[in-house]
Amino acid sequence: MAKSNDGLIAIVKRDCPTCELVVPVLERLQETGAPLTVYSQDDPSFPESVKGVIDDRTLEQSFYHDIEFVPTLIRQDGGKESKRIFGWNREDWEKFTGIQGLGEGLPDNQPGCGSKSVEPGVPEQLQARYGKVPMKSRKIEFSEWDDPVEQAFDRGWTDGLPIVPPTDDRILRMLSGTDRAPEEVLGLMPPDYMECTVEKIAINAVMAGARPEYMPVILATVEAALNPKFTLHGVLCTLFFSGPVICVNGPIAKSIGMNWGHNVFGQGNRANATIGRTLQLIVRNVGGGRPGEIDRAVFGNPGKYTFCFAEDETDPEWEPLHVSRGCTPGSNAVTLHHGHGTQAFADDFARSADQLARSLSMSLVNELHPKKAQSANVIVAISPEHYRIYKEDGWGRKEIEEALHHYTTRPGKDLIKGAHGIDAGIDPAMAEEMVPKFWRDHGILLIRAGGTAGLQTAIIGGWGGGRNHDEIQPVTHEF
Amino acid sequence: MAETNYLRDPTNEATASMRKSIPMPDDIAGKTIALLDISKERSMEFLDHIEAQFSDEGFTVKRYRKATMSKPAATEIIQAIIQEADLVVESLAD
Repeated sequence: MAKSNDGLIAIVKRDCPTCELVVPVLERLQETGAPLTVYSQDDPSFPESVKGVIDDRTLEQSFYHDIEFVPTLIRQDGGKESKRIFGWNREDWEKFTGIQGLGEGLPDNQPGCGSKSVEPGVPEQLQARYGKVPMKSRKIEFSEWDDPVEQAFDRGWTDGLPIVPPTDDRILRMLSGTDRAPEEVLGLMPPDYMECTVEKIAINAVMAGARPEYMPVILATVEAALNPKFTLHGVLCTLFFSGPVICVNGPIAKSIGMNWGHNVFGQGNRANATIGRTLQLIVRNVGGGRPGEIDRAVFGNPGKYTFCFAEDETDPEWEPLHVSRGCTPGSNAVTLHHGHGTQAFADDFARSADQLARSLSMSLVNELHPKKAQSANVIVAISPEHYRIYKEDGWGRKEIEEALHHYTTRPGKDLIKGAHGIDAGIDPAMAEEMVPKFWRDHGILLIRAGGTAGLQTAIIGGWGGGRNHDEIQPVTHEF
Repeated sequence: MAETNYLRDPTNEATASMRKSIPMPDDIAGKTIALLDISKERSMEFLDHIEAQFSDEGFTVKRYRKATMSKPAATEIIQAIIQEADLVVESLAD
């Protein structure tokens, strides 16, 4: 970059009424013979009456001089800036330049405008082009004729859908969503157990289409996934359907625009879609977990593209999931469940809490296999209309959970191997016991979610690995 | 939005950035061989020789031809090869 000359440096743009206002002042400065260099951010022919205006439409000089407002007037000596002023104020300009009588006929004062170099989306591009970038990831080069979206497909970086190309400016923008250093290692990502840094997370978040303000949730999600109790390695190389399912709690859900209402598990919300997708891309790209390779899922499930949502916390009388699992009320948290598809439960007839709980339990016991028990965990998402039925009978979380555990506990004799002519089942030694379907502590993760009309509840089934109660658990991570 | 001629690698960088070709098969016994003529001078004649050699060895050979050597093969030809063959020999002569 050509260095600017010593003396006075003015940065202006045509699209700025104050820059237009000070044109006679710049003319006067030039007439006095003061060494003056003028850079124009948007039109090299502006100002017309000033000689030798330099084209700064690339904004390189504006970036180098860290310009925030226009007009800015800088004094530079020996290549170093000694001071600057911005906007128009007669007294300031006269004192700064040492020249009296500037701007005759102009108002005494007029504020400047924002510099083009700090418009939304521009600073990161300028830093990527002209400044230092903190990223250390390898550069994958391609020719100017290549399509970066196709390059990503060819390199196996995608989940089958196009990605947003991870350019330096996009990654810088994503990193602005966190104070954590790009080089910070969150842990070793399975199955290859390679270092997962904030930088790699940001790169994959760009690819997923996430926004910088999602980064706190994304980082918390990765931390939860890397918690040994979650057993990420197991769930991503299982034969089974499951993948990570993410439930977000806390004020951050609203502030980043997450969906907990209509079509909560479906498409259409950027935060829901891209936070979940980021985790899956990280597993693929950083961890090396790919279908047909270490991922041996027989069927998988569509949630392995993305499965992330927020809980409906609009009723202050409802204890949200994360608080029930030990988080501080009002905090933010993510809960990760080993989940797969959604089992639909629709009961339009139940009008009491007890009836509804019994009816729902008939669907719940079918999870994984009707004769299996103390194995997979489930998320149970109660819609507003079903929640109303529970609430009208004075039931909250505790009462609903108690009822569901009660009604999904069944005589062992109906579940043992061979019972009812079905070979599958539990240990015959349990024939005389009453056998709970789900682990009491974390077997049923109850949340509120969904659209306002519809007497429905959703069951997100879980992974058979959950039978290892102590080693494999859903994880809640407060942040 | 400025586009650059590089992207940052999202992977764990355990493999080289230059992509490798698909490895050659260890054994081609029983495979159907596609011979793709790229339409250079005398490439058909050259591939006739290749076909004769494969056929003498007992392989099933299918012939394909793309319209010009300067452009990639048409999608229909690529899809036909995928459907009908296991391996491809693409050839030129001159």
